[in-house]
Amino acid sequence: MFLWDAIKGMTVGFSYILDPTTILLIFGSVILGSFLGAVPGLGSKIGLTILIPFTGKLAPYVALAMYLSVSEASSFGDTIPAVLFKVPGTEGAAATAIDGYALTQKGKAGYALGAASMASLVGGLLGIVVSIIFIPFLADYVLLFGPPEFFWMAIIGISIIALVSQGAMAKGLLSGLVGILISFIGTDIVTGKDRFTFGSIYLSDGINFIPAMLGLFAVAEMIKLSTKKTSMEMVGKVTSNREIWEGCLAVFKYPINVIRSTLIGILVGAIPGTGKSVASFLAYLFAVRSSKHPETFGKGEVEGVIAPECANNACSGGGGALIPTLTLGIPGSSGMALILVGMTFLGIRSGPQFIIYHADMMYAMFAGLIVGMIFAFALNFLCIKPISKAVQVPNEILIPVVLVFAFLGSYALRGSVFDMLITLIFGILGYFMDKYGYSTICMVLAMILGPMAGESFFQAWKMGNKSLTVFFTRPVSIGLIVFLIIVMVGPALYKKIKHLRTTSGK
Amino acid sequence: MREKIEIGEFILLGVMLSFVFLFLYDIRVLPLEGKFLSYLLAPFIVLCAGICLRDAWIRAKKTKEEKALKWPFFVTIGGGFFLFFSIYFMGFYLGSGLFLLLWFLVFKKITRATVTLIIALPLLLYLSFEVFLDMGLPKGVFWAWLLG
Repeated sequence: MFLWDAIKGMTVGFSYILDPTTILLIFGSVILGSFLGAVPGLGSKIGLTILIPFTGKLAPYVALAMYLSVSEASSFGDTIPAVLFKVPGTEGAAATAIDGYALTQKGKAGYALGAASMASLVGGLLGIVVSIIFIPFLADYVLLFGPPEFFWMAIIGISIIALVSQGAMAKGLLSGLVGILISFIGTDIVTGKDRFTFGSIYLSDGINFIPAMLGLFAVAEMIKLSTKKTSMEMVGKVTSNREIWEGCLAVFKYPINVIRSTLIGILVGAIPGTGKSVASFLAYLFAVRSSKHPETFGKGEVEGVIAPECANNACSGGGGALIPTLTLGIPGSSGMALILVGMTFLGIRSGPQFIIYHADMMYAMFAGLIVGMIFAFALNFLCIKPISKAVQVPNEILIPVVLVFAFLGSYALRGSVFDMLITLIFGILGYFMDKYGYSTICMVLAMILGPMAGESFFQAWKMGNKSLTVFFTRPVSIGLIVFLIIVMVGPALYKKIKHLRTTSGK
Repeated sequence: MREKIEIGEFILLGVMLSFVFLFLYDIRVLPLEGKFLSYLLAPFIVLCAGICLRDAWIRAKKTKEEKALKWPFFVTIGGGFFLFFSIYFMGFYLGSGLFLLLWFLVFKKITRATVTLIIALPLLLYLSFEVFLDMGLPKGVFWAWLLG
């Protein structure tokens, strides 16, 4: 039943996507994603940050397909510096660098890159298939949610990202809570009155999350990049396309490794707040443990490239991480938090309403992603040599170009010069937040979920005759509170128990 | 070695905490429903900030040497402000072009490729957004004043 619905939906989805302009836009997103994924320190986060403000005039399904294509193409591109320089383009390629670079040192760079590209394609496609089948199935259950539950979902979303982001949990929560307060600036949608504007006409429209996001990610990252040197030395070269092709074929020699790693990627991605680095290292670990020759890992074993790449792509993009993002509105990873930003920008609220009432848009998004993945694979296959050269673009050239794009994106949103200033201020704030381990992604996510939390809070409060008990008495709400407590307190409690056991053992 | 305390994190926490006090202070917000949730969140913010302050203080005592910010850091932030003001006064096309030119001059990166970039990038963006996509770009107050 679900399978048949999925097939029908995908047919409709492809009919939307297979249009020359859409294909061209997806191809452009793939180039952007591949390039930014390949440049260490940039990644899909910057790509999406720059892209989102320019997609306001596009059809939502085209924009969504573009966002996911950037995210997925970045997972393809990030393997290039990991394999050639042992510098992972993003955190997801860190595990790939172990055996990928070892293969490069043996003179098999093309072989490693070919295997990584094909593993990414297979893992990514299998991840999409699982998402297509499971997302509509899960949506039926999410219909049980009302305003109190949506309030808790917003709090859970922010808390989970705070928990897994860099630095201590208190820092992540602080960033998130301050983000919620910032989102309250402007006209209150419930009372219709100005709130926290201090009489400023600029603030009466509120601080939009797009200029803030451009500052916190793009500008802050450029300030950070300005303090770093990027003189990477390439030890290996890609000699021929035949070598790459042999690497591609090598993936099919290890079907069990591919399936296992893909499933790990999907499962890890489906747990909100985890991420592709966890998935890729876990898949690598399982590949080592189940191998007949575990001693070869770390010394140039192709299975050590295939496993993390399959898991990485099955987790991100259209894979496991998309499941909680689309069904619950909780980002499966920090990358998915930006997809949520994009959806909010397009006026789409993720959750069961999106899946039920905009199913055609969802399937078109998946179809676009499949097209994007095929493009990303082809680009990686045909353009490995130019991309590996592009990785070495000096920071002095990259920084001003990204700054110009960030300012343009900020202005393009509402045609307000004030937004450019917001971008700059948040850029400086973001740099220091990043420096001292305060999560910037948490702040942006809170700026998006904040209004939703505020609105749901007010509705639930009214629903419960201006009593807060409504938040603690409904069965689904209780389940969500228990889940929140387990997630927040569980890891610390587990550590404490483990510590007590070891001390009592001694 | 003289012990120094890195004050950056304290300033950052001060900025974050100031939001709470500014928001609670803003008594113009009426009715109360509009900031009820802010009041509920404020104690949690103060609690988290307190924990972070304590950690920062403990870490600051252990810090032996303060890491100085390098000059490209100030150049980038200064460049950001320059870009903002030049776009504000001269409009996007001239402002971004001037910013790119000065940037490459400061970093001594004037080559054939960068000169092409200085001319082509603003032009390309101007044509793409202003002409083809019909998305208005900043015109600049100087031109607005000059043209009446």
